[in-house]
Amino acid sequence: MTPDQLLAHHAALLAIPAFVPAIVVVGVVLYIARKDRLAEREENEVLRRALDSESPEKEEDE
Amino acid sequence: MSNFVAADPPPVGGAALDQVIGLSVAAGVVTLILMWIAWAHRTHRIEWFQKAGDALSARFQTPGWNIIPTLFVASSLIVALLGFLWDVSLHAGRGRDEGPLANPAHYLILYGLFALFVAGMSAVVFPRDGQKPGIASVRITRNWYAPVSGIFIAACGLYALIGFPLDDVWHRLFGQDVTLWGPTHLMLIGGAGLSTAGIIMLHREADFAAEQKGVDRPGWLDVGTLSMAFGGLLIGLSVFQAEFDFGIAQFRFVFEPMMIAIAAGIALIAARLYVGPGAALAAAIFFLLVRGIVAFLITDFFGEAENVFPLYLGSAVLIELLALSKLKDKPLWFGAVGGLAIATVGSVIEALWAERVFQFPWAQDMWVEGLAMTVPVGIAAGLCGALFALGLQGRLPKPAIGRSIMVGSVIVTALAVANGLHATVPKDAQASFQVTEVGTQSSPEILVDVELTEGLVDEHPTWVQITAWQGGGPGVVTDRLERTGDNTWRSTKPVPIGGNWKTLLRVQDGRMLTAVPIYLPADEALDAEELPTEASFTRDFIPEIDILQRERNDDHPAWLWGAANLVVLLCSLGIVMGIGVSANRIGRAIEAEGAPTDDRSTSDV
Repeated sequence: MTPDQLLAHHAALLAIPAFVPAIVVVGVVLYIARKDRLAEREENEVLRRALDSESPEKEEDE
Repeated sequence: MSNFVAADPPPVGGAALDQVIGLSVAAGVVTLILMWIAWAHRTHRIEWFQKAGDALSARFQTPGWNIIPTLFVASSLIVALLGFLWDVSLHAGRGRDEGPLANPAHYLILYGLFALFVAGMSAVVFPRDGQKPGIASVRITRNWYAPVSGIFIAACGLYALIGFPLDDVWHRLFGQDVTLWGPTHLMLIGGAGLSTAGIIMLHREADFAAEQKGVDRPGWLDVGTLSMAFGGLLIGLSVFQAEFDFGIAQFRFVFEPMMIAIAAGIALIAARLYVGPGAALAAAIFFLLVRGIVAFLITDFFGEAENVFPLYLGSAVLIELLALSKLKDKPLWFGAVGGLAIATVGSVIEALWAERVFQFPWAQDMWVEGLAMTVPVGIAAGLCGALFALGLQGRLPKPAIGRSIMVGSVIVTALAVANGLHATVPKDAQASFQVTEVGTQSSPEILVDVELTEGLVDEHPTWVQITAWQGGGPGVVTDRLERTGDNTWRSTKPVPIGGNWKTLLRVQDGRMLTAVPIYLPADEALDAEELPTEASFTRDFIPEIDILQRERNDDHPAWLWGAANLVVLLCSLGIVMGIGVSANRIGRAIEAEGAPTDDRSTSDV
């Protein structure tokens, strides 16, 4: 190894090999979980509206 | 002399760029393949993963989401442990690295930690089609549930992996700290070590699921697997002792009995309470077997520095005997009394073992302070072990009691560690050496007669010794000096100087931890000149860290050091909380479902 050999200078660069893949995987799982939760909320909302339009008197309860 | 001592000195900075790029590409490809497998498995595009899980499941009578990660975690941890101890022995023998991957042991560690993360993720992705893996499972989507222990294992892997790049950043900011107890090093080994608790919890989740389904599993399989798992926990909790195991501890000796009591208190007491008679003993035997094999590989196969390990058998016998009493029916009391027994009688047994096996015996002057640290911490560890067992059995005490034990243990341990770290360096103290050269021209060795400043050490110092290390190859040479007068000491065997050796006189007495350099090589990368040995010379005592960790640089603002330590501390508290939260979730879920009538859970709290 020569003293002037190119060394990785940016700290973030060194983080790539081991760390980034794991973070990406965690990120993907969290994204899927959040997407599903949003979809669920939306479906519930649609369902609620459908039920509400069938029985408008219920609206007052909420 | 080994190849390591090349014409150019190893740099003190970080990785060469090509290493980083090569490894990034490899890790990226592997990750993509693994993510594709997970996606294809969950969307029924491939069936072989499910079939493999089913085949293993049929063979071991446990769900695939348990057996796949368990085998995977076990194999990853064995690789990581071998890499870790090999790495410590390389550093002890040869000094710092040329970069993170210039040292073959780092590949094993990197693989082991990455595989640990993947193993945890395999438990997360395996259950598909809305199948709930165990009663404590965590909902990810409406048809994707993951065992909480699988998530914990993946978190441990991630925590350890964060340590890897952080370690390199750390080295750049603060210089390489050639000690195991650098904060980022503790993350690397702590994450792997604590994931063993995840295996035990995962086993419990699967066990309960099998019981609910009425699967009749052979008892010996459970007892055998669990004894090994608790042995694994004992190994995991013992990794922090490694500097002492190699005879190159850079911290006060009072830490050693305390660390042994923590590991024994948690692992052995939990094993006995949860698994049953003989489990504490089996866990200790598993520990000795694995550490014995690894030590053999490193010393005799790789030819690196020797390492030894605590016995734990004495403490295991104590716990087995204690469990014959009625105390076993009151687990928390059992934990506290067991912890006390381990910290006292167990420590005496470990001291006898250390005298025969370790390079430095437990000196008389460390006992009072050592016990003052070990007893409270040992009791706390015993209580945590009992709490862990109760969580696994679904018989947790009131939340306030559990929380108090966890928080109290963290505080007691932190206080003891802070006390242990507090070391002093004497002012205006010198050592005068008379040196006799022995050995050959190419590998010079010396014998010394040394006189210390009057009154520097009392009648029973912890140690007055010469250490020579990082000379290349299996290079740690230590010599406990023989006392020839009140202030005079003499070599009992030659120690090497010259070449790349770093040779120093080390004195530890009570709180005092100090050293005098005898020979230090020139180091261009550090801009340090050679410190030669003369026929007779007098030098000042200085902080050990200035000699043992010449690579450290103090050229940074204090807030940066504080902030860096805080980040590591927060991550670490997070992972300890992770065990508490996971075990609590499992315990409460089992409690809610009604604990099954198995002999592991018939007694009262």
